[in-house]
Amino acid sequence: MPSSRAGELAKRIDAIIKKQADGELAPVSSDAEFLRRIYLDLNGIIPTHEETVAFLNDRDQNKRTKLIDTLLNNGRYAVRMREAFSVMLLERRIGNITPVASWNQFLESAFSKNKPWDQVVRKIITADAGDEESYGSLKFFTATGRTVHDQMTQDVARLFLGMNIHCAKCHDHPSVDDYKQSDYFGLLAFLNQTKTAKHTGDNKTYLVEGVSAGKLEFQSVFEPDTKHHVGPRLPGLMENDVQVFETGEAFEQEAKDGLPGVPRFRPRALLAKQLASSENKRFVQNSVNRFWNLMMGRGLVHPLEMIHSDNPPSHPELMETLSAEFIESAFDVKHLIREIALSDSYQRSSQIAEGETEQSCPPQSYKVALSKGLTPEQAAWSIMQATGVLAELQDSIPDPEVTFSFKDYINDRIPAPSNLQDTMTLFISVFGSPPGVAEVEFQPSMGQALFLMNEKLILEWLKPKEGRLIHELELIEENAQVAQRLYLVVYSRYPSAEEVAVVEEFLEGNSQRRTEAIAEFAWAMLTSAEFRLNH
Amino acid sequence: MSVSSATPLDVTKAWVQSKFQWKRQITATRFSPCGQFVFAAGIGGAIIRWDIESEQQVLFESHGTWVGDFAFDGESKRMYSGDYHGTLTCWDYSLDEPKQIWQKAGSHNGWIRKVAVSPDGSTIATGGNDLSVRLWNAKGRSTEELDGHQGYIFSLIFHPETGDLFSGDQLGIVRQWNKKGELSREIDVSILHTRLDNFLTHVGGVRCMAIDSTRNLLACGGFTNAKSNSFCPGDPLISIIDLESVTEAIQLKPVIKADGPINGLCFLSDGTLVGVGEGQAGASLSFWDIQKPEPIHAIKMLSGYEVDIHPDGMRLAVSRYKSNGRTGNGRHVLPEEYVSNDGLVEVLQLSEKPMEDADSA
Amino acid sequence: MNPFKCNQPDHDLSRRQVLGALTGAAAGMGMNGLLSPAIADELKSKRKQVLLIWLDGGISQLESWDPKPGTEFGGPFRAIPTSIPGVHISELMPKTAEQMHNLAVVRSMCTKDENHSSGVPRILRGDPKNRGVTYPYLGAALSYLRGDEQVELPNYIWVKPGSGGFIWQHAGFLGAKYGALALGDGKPPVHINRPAEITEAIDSTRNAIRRQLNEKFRLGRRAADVDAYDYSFEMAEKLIKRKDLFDDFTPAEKDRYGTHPLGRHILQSKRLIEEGVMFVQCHSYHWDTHGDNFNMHLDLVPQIDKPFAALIEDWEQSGMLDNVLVLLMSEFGRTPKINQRLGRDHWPEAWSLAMAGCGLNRGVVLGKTTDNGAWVDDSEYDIGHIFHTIFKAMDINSLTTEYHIDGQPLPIAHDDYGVIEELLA
Repeated sequence: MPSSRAGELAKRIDAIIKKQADGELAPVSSDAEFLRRIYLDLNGIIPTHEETVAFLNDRDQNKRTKLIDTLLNNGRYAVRMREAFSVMLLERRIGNITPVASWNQFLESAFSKNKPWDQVVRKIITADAGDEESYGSLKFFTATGRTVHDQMTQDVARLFLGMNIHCAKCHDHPSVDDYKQSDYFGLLAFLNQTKTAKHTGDNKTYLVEGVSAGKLEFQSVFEPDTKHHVGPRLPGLMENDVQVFETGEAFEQEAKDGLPGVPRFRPRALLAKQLASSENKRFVQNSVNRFWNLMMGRGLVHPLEMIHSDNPPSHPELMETLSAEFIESAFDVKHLIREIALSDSYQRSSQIAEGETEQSCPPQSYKVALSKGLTPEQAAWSIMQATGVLAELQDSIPDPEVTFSFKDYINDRIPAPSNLQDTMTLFISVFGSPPGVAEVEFQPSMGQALFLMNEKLILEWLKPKEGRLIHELELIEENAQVAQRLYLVVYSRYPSAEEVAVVEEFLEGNSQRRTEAIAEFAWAMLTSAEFRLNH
Repeated sequence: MSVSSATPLDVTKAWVQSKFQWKRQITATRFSPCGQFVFAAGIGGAIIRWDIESEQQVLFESHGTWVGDFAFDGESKRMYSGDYHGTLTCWDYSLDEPKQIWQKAGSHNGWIRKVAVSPDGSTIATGGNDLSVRLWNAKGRSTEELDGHQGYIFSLIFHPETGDLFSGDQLGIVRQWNKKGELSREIDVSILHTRLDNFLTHVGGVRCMAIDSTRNLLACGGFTNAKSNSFCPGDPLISIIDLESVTEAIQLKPVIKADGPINGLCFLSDGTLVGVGEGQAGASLSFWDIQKPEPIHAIKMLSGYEVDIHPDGMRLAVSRYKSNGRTGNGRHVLPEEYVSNDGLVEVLQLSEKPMEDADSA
Repeated sequence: MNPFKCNQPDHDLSRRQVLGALTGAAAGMGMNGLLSPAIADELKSKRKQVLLIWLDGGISQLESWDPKPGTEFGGPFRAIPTSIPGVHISELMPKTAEQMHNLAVVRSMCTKDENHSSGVPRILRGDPKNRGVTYPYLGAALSYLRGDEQVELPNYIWVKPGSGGFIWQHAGFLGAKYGALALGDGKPPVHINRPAEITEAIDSTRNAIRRQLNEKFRLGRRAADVDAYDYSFEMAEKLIKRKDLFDDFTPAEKDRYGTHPLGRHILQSKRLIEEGVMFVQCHSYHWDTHGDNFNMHLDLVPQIDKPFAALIEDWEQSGMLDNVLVLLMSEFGRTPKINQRLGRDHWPEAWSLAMAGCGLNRGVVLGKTTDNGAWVDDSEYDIGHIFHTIFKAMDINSLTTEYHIDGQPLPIAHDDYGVIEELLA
């Protein structure tokens, strides 16, 4: 995008936030605050010791902008975005109809090539047989539980329109006036001919559509005698007529290779076009809302699934501005993220300004930066990197004989994970939500605390083995130096003099068991709030 | 209005000839063997008799609680009815005024869900929640207790030719008993049973049965794949068992979507199977030729509970739900307007509706 | 059972301070911290606890506490006499019928919300007047108002089917610290056992450092996330010390309460109360019988009848019932009107709940519904009344006690309602 426009949206964001904020805005974050935050948000991992030292000592006035651009264009960006959006779109659902590797590849390619977001969503909704590049996108509808039409309807509404309409299936929504039963059935009408079929040639399963029989009939359970009818219709948009054909005329392509014929009238194809379109205000707002939430820690409309007139955005003008910009930029994701990252509002400190209190800075004011919990993936990557086990886990190849499952592991049926993939699985099992449950808020649980306290793998990582943090640290003779390295590696910042003194005092008091003491202090830092949160 | 016997049976032309409405939901309905009356019973203790022609209504009221079922013996003009407190009553059904002949409380320990009368009228079979199928003579004396079921007994039927008794239970097991009261076979139709692990309950079961003696087929109706949610939805299903080989000949499903079980079945003289089902958003009355799983004809309607064929072979009685004002969560109406839903018995003529007939209903 | 099995030296000291005049006897205790049974009983007798058994979905009052056999909506079940002369309940609860003389049943509940998703939180929060803040659930409220730091156990434990975890949302404006520790299937959380190389001393040290780091980090920052995170560790530490809470039960106990989930969970909840947890909520999830209500209740009601009656009988005999308040309820009842799946829908208009213990009158039935069971005929009670009554039974003055949140005083129960005097002696 033209560089002359770069930063303009960021300025507008700041102007709107400032206008609506009542009182003092917190100052801009320190370099260390910014560094860690931007690494986590754009690359899904804390910076390495080297990256930290380099950035904190860099005198370049534009270093923040340059770092943003570096992180947006390196290989980890696509991985981070895939992790975040995979969780958002699949909600930890598994299933083996579409391989997860294909899904990951589809998303990563979309983000690394910065494909326009409307195009990405269209692929997710339609991916046709023979479209090799988008084959993985099928997983949205083929993941466990998603092949049921009601689930498809509810999840498309929640994730692409910001509307949680599952209470509007049997009657108009009891508490949200905007969500009607006709919205539910109008959306279902796009989807209820969808099914899966296996191609006899490549043996892959694709999404296909049957012939629509006509409009959907529905009635409220409170008035079962009154029948309503609706054709495929997105909330707030025009209803589509259902084209019905004479027998024999319904298909534009005959059945072959195990796949049924392609009907002339394809409601799901219509859905793709009408859903992911600049004409669909709800889609644009929901998209913008979710990208905003990813960076800022809260949606302009919150909760993310409750966009309706009784729950307006905290900053209506900002919602409008971002929506218009997203459309104008042709749904350019990197542009949107970059502008948010460049803004003062994003780069604000998470420490409350002098004279303000927690009460005077409610989350939606953005007067102070909001902290976010590390996602399970971010926590895993960051702990592995900080303890120094990442390289060895990345190099390790999974044992084909052993399929890692969390249940088997905690029941002592299999050994601890020793490769990256299985370790990720372990972290996701502990820190992630059960399948079908959105991961939005920071919800620390006692079970996770017990994991961090008693899981033998974590303690193993804190042993003084070659290449690991504790070994590196035990080799450093001066306790003050140990403190500095500890803080740079774990917290991605330099320690204050007071903090150095605390480490020194602790190590001096444990001089007989210095290595263990170092490991204990490291453990305390890794399990502290400063590490656990993205602040 | 009578239909000329020359009018051929054509289920696709079925039309509603008469409607009889009652202020409580009706689950059981049958024609009397003489063909003059249609009877209904269900929620509330009354058994209602309507004269099909005159539509005159007479109430047989001596059950103090829901009546599970009733059955007739044509020769003796007897009606036997059982209720959910385990009381069995014998009536003369044919007189202008209802006449109770005998009544036995405690015939069962708990619900009587089904009553059947043997082809020769000598034996009455009852079954319900106490897991025992009990046989009585026409005087109300207990003759046999047939044990062995491990689920509530939902359906009972006598084979019209052999007089064997079939009892179907909630676990999907049908037991066949000979005239001596011995178990001849057990037939597994457990496809009609689901165990809900969340609720720790069994649902479904063999809700209804019908026998085609010509082809020696037993039709068992219910639903399968029930889900553990508040409405307990499932896929309605009929399993046709060949009684010769005791194997499943075919599975039938309605085409009109419904999430409740098939509650009533009967065979027509031409071998067509009629079934009625229930559903949260209604269900259907469907007709199968049993050659394929789909029905040859279906009529969409609100939940149905029972279907019976008239002695003339041309008319069906279907009992179904009729909404009375708003149902569903919460109040929404004034106390005076809060009344129970109704029951309806529809008598359908299974032949072409005559064009110019001043008397048509 | 002795609830005070703690090993911390300074904890021991604070207990001795509490004992004050009993120092003489306590002095001989040693560092171990076990109290003699007499002293434990003395302390116990002053301390009140709550067990809330929640039948989620709405048990049918017509098929349990308030049967109307032979009426328009009454259904096919009979009513049976109970140990209170003249009072009958559904034939589906024969064991509970024998315990009626220990219970206080309210048949005239009339509440406002007919939906699960909004209704359940409203009822569990006491449905106070809307002041734009999120009120705490009962367990969190009592944690705050009556929480006991002296018992080394979380104040609010939630025994439920499915998964466990820390449910901070229950705490509302009180802050995450007062949320519920949920035990999935009543089981101890995974990782409750410390690895051998981590001794108690090491664990204590490293957690002290962790807390210190958090204290520093919290300065000048929004506290909510840090607090929630801190508290999850606090609870983890407490629970690690009490693994014995999850030991197996005897065959006799398992048989008496039933091996079905609700039976096991009530038995586990009973132990947690006996071990000193201040508030235990025991959840059962399958009562929402919109379809096939009558067949379903045939199978469902025995699942509560058996363990509930056993619990009341056991606690009456042991004396626990004197200081433990037991509540058995749902978020509403079920419609008298029967729908087309032979089910009953939601009915907040007139429903029942049962309570026992903690100074409540025993063997009373309050409130009447109309002959057809559809409406309250007298003494309509909102959940607000029940909350006032619960607070009073817990020695909390619900009219004068207030929360102070952000400088705003907030009543602990609905302003417009009060204690149900007929329930308290």
